[in-house]
Amino acid sequence: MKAQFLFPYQFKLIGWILMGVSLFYWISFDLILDYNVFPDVKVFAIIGEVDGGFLSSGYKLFTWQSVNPQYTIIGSLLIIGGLLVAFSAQREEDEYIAFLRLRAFQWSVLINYLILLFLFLFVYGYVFLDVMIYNMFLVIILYILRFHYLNYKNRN
Amino acid sequence: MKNTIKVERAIKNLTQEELAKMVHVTRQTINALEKNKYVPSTVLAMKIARVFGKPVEEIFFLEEDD
Repeated sequence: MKAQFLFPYQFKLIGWILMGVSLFYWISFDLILDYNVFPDVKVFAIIGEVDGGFLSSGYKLFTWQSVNPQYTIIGSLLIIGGLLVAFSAQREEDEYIAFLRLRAFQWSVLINYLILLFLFLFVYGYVFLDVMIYNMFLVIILYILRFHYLNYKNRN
Repeated sequence: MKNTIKVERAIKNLTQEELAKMVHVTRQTINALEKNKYVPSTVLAMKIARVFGKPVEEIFFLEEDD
């Protein structure tokens, strides 16, 4: 398991910064202040909404739409940052680190779906939408935590 | 799988770090091997055996549940 698709070690820091910025903005501006700094912009939507807003039924295909990009930007930065952190090489990579990576991925996928199953069974109503949104990022975050934990445990 | 890496290291007076450098892995890998937490690839096993100047079968042993 030698040649893996990993970014160079330096990309990890960029990933942390992107994650930090998006989480900081999300927690402080969206969750706490409920203040949106972004103006509406025109974006190209492969699947877009019909007039009537976010939860109206039906959709339009391949149109230019005026939308607020706040969540698009937060989510995209979080995903890109998370991927950079998760898929950047350690300073030294070898077969045992590759083994730990695999273990961490297995654990994070399993735990993610156990949590999701639990939430499916016990969460109902509108808040379920929030649950789904948080769950989008859980796998990569669990992986990052677990991989670093396994590394830390093995350093001693 | 068991191994005698720790003993062989002592015989040759090598630290985990020194052995790791000789076979191009991290110290954590050698540590995990000695604690039987990890089964090495064939290539790594042969590299380690070569450092100690012995056949692979004299360093690594199959266990009942392997």
